[in-house]
Amino acid sequence: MNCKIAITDFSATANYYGSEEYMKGSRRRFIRNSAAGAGAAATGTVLTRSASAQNRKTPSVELLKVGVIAMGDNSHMNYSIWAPTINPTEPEVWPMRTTRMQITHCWDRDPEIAAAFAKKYKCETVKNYYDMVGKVDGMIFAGFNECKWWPELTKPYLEAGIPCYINRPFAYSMKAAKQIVDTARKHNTPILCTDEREYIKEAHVGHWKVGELLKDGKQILGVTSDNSAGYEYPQHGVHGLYFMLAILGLDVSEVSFQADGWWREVTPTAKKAMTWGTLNLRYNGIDIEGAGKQTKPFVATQQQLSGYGANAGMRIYHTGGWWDIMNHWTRGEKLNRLYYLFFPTIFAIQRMFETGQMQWPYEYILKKTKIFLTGFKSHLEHGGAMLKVDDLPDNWEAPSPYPAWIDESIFR
Amino acid sequence: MAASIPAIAASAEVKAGRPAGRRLKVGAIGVGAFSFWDYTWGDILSPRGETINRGSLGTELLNMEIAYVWDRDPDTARKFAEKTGAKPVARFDGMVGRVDGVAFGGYYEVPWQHKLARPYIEAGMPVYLSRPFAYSLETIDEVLDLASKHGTPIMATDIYEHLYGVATIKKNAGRIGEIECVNSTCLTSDYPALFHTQFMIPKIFGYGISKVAVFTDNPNAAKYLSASYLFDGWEGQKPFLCHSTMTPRGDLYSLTVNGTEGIESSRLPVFAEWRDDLLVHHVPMLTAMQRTFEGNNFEDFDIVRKKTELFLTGFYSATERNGAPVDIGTVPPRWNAAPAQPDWIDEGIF
Repeated sequence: MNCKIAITDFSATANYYGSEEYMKGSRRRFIRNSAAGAGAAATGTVLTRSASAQNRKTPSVELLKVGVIAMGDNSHMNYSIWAPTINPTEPEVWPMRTTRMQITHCWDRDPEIAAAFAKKYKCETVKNYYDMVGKVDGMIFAGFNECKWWPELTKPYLEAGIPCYINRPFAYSMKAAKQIVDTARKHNTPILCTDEREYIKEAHVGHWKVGELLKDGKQILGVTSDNSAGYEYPQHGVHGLYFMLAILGLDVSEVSFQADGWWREVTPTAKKAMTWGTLNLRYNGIDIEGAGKQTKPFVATQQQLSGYGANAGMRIYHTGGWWDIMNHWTRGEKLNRLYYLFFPTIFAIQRMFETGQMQWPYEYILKKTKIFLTGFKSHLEHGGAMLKVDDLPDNWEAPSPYPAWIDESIFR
Repeated sequence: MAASIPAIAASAEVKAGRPAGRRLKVGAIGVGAFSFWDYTWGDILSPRGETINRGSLGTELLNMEIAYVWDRDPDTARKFAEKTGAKPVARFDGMVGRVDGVAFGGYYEVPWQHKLARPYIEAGMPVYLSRPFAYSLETIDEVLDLASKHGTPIMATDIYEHLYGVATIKKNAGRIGEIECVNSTCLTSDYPALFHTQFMIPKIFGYGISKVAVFTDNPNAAKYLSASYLFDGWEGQKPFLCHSTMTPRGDLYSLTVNGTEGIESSRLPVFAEWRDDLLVHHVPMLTAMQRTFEGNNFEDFDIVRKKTELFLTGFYSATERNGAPVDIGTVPPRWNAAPAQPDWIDEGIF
């Protein structure tokens, strides 16, 4: 059955696989993998990771082997969100194969979680977090609670040149963010940090609309937005942030996060559960290449809500009126919500694994992380005042709601 | 603050000489730049069909006539007087005992309004105070205490509080479940004039606001401006945020209420025809003003203070806290907001 579908896929995409774009990606993988393999052998490290598996040319009918780290609480690989769309073992949720990826290996800090995931999605567990090097074509770091330790968890894979999806909010300090990016850049490893609200159709249409307005000589006067934030900032509030950035760009000068808390429950680092919040971005202007430019500053404000029947929306006020866009909560069978909200991210992950090309450059990921962290600092240390993004110190660290989630002895 | 006022002591001249059917005599204070007297009220109340600004309505709607006028610039007062048939007075207190009520129409005069209005309040003469009413809590308390002491009717409102949309939104918002959030826009280019929606919104949702946050590059000449208010909620309604964005071009206001069971929207576009602007936008407030000049206090003084405090707390957030939310009740009483025109009135007149 799988074979038949694979052949169908091939015939449908024959033009792509023969294309210069694909071949360029294949050559990059070959060069990267060769270098990684040579490097690992030369260092004589305790963790000898054979990159020989990476040297093989992936036939177009084979599925890309994917490794997953973090499948427990607050992970996208939990709750039947991402996993069934890649390994379709839950027909009532996602009835057929729709990607060229297969999760073949997994690791979680809790071996029982890993075993249950492996059983459900028919993949293998590995004993150590680094044991998937040489076994997979791409890695998905799917968790949220593990974000504080992404620099350590991703390191072996970045050094091996394996494309990595690294889940938001990417890092809790610019020092950690740069550590990940520097490792990736040094080894020419593509990475992707995105979320569903950055990648949905509404984000793309919104961005196009802004370009059209600028091209027509209009100016953006202000923006209001809404985001299904689940009463917290770093896990779902950041979805709304990425939505705004995807539409309006990254030329944000100041940020404030005004709320009565930042996490949905009391934890060792979160003293009060959040009940209301607003995220505010002060833009210098907008510059959309090929469309238009505005140097007049404006403010975009986003209310952090829960249970209002939409995932994210925006109203853009311009010199001529306003324009609305909304991504509604999809109704009907679960597949609908997965397809319209979450699947575009899966598509982006596969595209990176297959082509080796990054959706956004490293600097884009660093800038949106800095904007996120500036908002966090505004709330925690400045009572919600507007802070300049450029003033955020590299070593300022945001709290993780679960600061002891990972036993750090695994990194020694 | 007194919640109610005793019977009003009308001025001697007016009481003695007022036959049935006589028009209410109104004193106009501040008729120059950014004054409603020059912009619209003059046209609505123009007795001879004279055009003051855009054109008279061609018929007389209300029962008020502009009897006297004062402006910091005598020449401005004289020109206004010539068009309206009013008499200019040399001093700001020159209308005491001569009119049924006094209306402040200006914007730049507000920081001195407590001094300009004092003689009239002490005389028990009804006064319309222009928004944002005062530039410190100390001065608004001074005005309201004086009005309470002398039993003087006061009206201190913004024009948007009188729009029909207020009652409509209030009624329809009850049909959309629990409020999740409110977003609004306001046609303005500065923070003080955000008072249009700043005072309209609590008229709809109540005055239980605990925090205000305003950020802008310059409150008196803004390139960007954003304001947020945290409503405490009520039984069956959790706390919610209301946000207001400045739009220097666009609708007079827009307001969207997101509820758990629906959305309610309201907007008032800029009028294409100036007569509609006068009738729909400005006459409702003048009607309420006429009722006040007939001796009826418009609303509880506590509401006037709350509105003033909202304005000042937002100003404080913008200029002292870089836009961070500020709790209502924490702005020092003697803290003064910065006027747009700090030398508008020569203090020597007092």
